[in-house]
Amino acid sequence: MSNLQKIKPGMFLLPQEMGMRVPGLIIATEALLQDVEIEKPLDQVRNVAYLPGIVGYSIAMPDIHWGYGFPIGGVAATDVKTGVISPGGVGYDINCGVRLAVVPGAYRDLTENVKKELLHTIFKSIPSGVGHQHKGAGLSDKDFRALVEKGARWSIEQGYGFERDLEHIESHGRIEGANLDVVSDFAKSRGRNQLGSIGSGNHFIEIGEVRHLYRSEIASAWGIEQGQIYILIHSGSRGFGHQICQDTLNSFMKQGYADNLPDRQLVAAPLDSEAGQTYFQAMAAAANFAFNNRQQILHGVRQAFQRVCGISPEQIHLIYDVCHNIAKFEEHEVEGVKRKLCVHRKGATRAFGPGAKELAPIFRTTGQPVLVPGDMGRASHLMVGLGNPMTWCSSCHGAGRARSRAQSMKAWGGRDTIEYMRKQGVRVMACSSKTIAEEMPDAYKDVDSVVEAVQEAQLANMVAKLSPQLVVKG
Amino acid sequence: MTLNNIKRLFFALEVDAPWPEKLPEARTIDKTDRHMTVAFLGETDYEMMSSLLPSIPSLPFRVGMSAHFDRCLFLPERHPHVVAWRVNLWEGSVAIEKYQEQLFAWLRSHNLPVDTRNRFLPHVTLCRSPFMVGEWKQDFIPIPLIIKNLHLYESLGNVKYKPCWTQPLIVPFEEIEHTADIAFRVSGETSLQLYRNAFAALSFKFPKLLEFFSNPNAIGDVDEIVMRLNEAICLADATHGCPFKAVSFHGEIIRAEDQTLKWEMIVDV
Repeated sequence: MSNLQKIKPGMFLLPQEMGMRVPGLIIATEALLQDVEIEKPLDQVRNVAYLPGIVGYSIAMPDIHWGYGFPIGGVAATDVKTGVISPGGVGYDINCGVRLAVVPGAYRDLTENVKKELLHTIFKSIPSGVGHQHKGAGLSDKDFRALVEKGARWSIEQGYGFERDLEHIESHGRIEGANLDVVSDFAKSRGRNQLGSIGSGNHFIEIGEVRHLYRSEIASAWGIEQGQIYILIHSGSRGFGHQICQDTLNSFMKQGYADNLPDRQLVAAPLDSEAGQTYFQAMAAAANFAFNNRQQILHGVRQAFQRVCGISPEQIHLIYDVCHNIAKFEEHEVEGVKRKLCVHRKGATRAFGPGAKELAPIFRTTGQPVLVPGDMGRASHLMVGLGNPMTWCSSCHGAGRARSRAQSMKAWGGRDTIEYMRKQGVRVMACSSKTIAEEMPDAYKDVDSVVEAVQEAQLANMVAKLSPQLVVKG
Repeated sequence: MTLNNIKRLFFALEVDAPWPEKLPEARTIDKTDRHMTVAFLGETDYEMMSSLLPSIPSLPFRVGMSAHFDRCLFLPERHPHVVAWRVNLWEGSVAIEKYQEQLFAWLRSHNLPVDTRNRFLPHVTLCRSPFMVGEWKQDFIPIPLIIKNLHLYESLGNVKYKPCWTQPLIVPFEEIEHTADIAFRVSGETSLQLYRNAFAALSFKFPKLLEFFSNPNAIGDVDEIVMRLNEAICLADATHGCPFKAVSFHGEIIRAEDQTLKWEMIVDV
């Protein structure tokens, strides 16, 4: 293992060496560091520390794994005047994120028939998997312009959800500065029919039971009860965001912005350059697309509950929606001085603590909800942010893969995974049996160990453990 | 010459493809036995043939090539008794034809029997009669294939074949471990072949990508390979949806000890 030095509970220092401008900071427990193939992602943490204008640390969360340029689970803040913005620090799936909603009533009160029908209704009404998208003409250019400018509000104006939802979305469902004029026609053509669809890979809709409350006073303040039905949605900006990332990488590469970096996948443009600003405007457009995407997916699930269980959409409360692939301008204290930074969170979640100005009143007293999906067999977690300045108020985003897709296919290909999961008490539907095989629980680390590390490092505290029961996989 | 030594022999290129799980009812050839015939010898003294094999002309390429099946054929045209899929070679068709001529000449020079009646038609036989023409026509979809090795096959009868000698080729691509995404080690003799073989690797996972294959005459560097592959992914996603987000700007093209080019391709999914 690399020369990591434990500096605090749950925190290890990766010393500054060679051309690193700052040291690395790894959030983990000793057990997690033993458990994972850590060297490649640690190299990526080192590489990120070379970025011009980086301040503090090059940070990695306990769900760290090898990613594109940045490790997945990577956080880096750059100074707005002297620093850069890197698409690799955001990822291809711009504003991939998670949203959690709760449904009145206990999960145990749902009959087997209702559960089955609910799952089928959600699966049929919300497109999931490769090639499954909405039919028809899709988004017009006018729609695109409105939705990237207004963020999630646009979908609410179209009837997908409620005004009150906006207070329960990170940045109120809108990243300022989005500009459709810098987005290619290719990106629009990829996203045109994909709004309101889950996509493929590890994206999902999960219905389950709030299994355990660790901090009942916070859960209660947020309107969450033990045994309650929850909805968890994981999706992003679909082809629209992927193409914006790709277009930017092509352009940055051609302009030579990868020169002098240890890995050209970190290609980054100065924040005050035209290239850097163009990327931010396009990224914000994709982020706002993603907020709308999750807003419309939740609408589909709310409709399914109404149809199958007679629960009206108004009764289903959005708890929170977080981005975990994003770059945002935030104000943080650096060596005692407030500075405006561009915080890249790639496979990491913002975790503002109590008192954060941006949060809605309900969360300003508690800290913001942090959503940590695990795998479809074991658990997901709801945490509360503590606003730890060492990580620029960031936390983990999931369990992190422990096994490649190829290994999962070898282990599960050809087996009846749906029946296997049913025997574990989880009903699963997906367009492709391959997806289920690739996403079986043992493909992931145990999320419990990840959230324990985050809690030990004082980035976020556990609030509730969620138990998946009905799952639609992408 | 003893009767025990007589075998029904032919030279063929072994192929691999993401074969459909289900094909129409017929006497189908096993996936592992499917091949592209280069020279059919028929009944031949195997002992004599094996003694000559060390002098067989070498293939004019070292890395297996990529191609795709573009049509369902029923052969021979008049009274068909086999169903075959036509191979659209992305490169090397002239090289294979020339090699076939060399092989014929070599066989003739050793007084070995060889059927030289038909011009080289790149195809892979899938099954032998009886079969339903309509079903095979309807079920055909273009899929990619790669050429793996040259074998001397023995026909065992009942659509079974056994390789009894091999001239190996370097595999065009192989999937390698990557925790979060998917990755391939791609090989080629030129950067153009790297691009083609990388395209085949992606098409093996998602055959609809073939609709967006472009076959340029030259490729500059790895960045151009990445951009071309991503253009196809973008078009496929806009048209059908696509399981790939993009091919990342990862890795350099490296010249290996065997002088072939290698590139580690990572695909964000």
